[in-house]
Amino acid sequence: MRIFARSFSTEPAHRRLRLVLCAALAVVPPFLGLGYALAYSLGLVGALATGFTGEHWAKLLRTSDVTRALGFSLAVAAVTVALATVLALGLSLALRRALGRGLGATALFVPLALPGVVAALIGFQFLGGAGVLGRLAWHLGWIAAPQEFPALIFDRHGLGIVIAHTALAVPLLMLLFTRLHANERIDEFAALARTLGANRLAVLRRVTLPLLLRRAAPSLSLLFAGVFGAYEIPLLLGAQRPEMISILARRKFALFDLHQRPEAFLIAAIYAAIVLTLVWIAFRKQPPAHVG
Amino acid sequence: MSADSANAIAVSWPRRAGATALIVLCWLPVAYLALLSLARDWAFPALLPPGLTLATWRRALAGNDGLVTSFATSALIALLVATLATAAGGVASRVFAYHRHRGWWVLAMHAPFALSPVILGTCLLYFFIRLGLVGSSAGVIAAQFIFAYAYAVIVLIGFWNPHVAALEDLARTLGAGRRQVFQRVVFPLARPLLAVAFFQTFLLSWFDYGLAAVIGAGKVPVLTLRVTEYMGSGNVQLAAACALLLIVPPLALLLLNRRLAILAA
Repeated sequence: MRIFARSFSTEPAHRRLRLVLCAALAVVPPFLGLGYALAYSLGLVGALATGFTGEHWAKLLRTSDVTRALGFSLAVAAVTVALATVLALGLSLALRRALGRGLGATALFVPLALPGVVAALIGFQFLGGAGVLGRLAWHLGWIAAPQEFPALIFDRHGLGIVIAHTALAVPLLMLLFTRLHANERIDEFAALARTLGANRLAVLRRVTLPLLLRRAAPSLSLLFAGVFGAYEIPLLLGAQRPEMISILARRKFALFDLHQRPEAFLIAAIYAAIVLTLVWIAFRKQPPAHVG
Repeated sequence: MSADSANAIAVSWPRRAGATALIVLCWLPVAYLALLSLARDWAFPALLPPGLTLATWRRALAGNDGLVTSFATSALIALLVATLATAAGGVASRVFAYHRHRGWWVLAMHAPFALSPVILGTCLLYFFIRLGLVGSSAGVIAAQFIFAYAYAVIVLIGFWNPHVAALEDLARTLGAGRRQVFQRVVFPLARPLLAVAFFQTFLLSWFDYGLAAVIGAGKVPVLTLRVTEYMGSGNVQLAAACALLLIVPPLALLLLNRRLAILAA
């Protein structure tokens, strides 16, 4: 039988070329774009380039909107992932059997068919003052006019953004946790722990949650990265201040003032550094590279 | 008694009620959008519309608003992106899977997939301008392909395992040529996962907003852009109709093919 794993150095030239081409298709465009962004932010390229300068990076420390957008985006992503994980864990553990394999399990697939713009439209229709929740509040006598309904969208805390992303993520995470529950044979480990004297809380704390969360960590990291760089939902449900990082980068890029453009690319470079570091941490403990 | 019915008996009523509430919540957005697209004068504080009308759908399907064109444009772009990405991803996943640094390649493939399309699109805009691709369907397809290709590799790399390699070797030992090995052994085995990769990359393109807005410069009239246009102009009925056009095809596919849905999830 041939050797399953091959080394680059022993590859024939045509196979090496194929490897380079296959890698280039996915790796070159992002790094080309990010390299350009970094070079632009350092004054090396662009319409107003004057040679290497750290001025834009130094300015970053003085401008509050970039740091505020970074902090706001990180906070929104962290709260969304935490909220969605807690809800999905609770619901999947409590309703796993009740949902079964029929209508219940099928219903969880419905939110998978909702893109961000549709989630934003639904969020707008449900969470706005004159939306579904506002109308319910009016019928219950809690408010007399739409303006009295608490601001859940276009608010400075990003509540609408968090709610919309959480609503999209919970069914997906429920499917993930339900599947992991079966694949990781958690029921069997839980039964073993109970036989050894563990009570229900100890089984949950020491067996079920660690197993589920450890296996779900890469997916949760991708969810964090997705919300951190989200565009459509913050664009349609977010306030003008503070902005999510994608909105700020896009706004600074689209301004007529070309002096703002290095900042847009600087934001992109910082964003990419954070996301790529996160992905590296989450996926570096993948199954070993050698197979066979 | 089947295992399912035994489970149903064991489940307590609060859990059954909770499951029912969750099912209703999952379907609520679709039902609400359908009602909104049919509603007539649905003003605050009415909980239900005073009447229903097909006027929005007549307008949407008449073609004057270009919704039919948008649907066709979105479908064509998504089909092209999914076909190209699945084919290229199939080839590339084999190259990476049999390489000794397989883990590193998988990690590298996550780079475009994890980045925000709007931010990466903005960074790549200069190169797309130089290539004359901005504001064109070709530009949107090329930009979406970067993301879809990486995702297809991530989905398909798991297919190439020692068992498949052994089957390929066995077929070759029995005298099969390269084409026969592909046609008779590899393709039939890979078909379910190829379907998942095709479906997922189709969705990636079908749901895309950021790249269509940045690289397409708003000139490629895909459905996602139309939803925001209608929302911006305050025409929520047409936005709802447009949103339904966006969600019904993938929803129908997910519900008709549960296996695809489970693998896709």
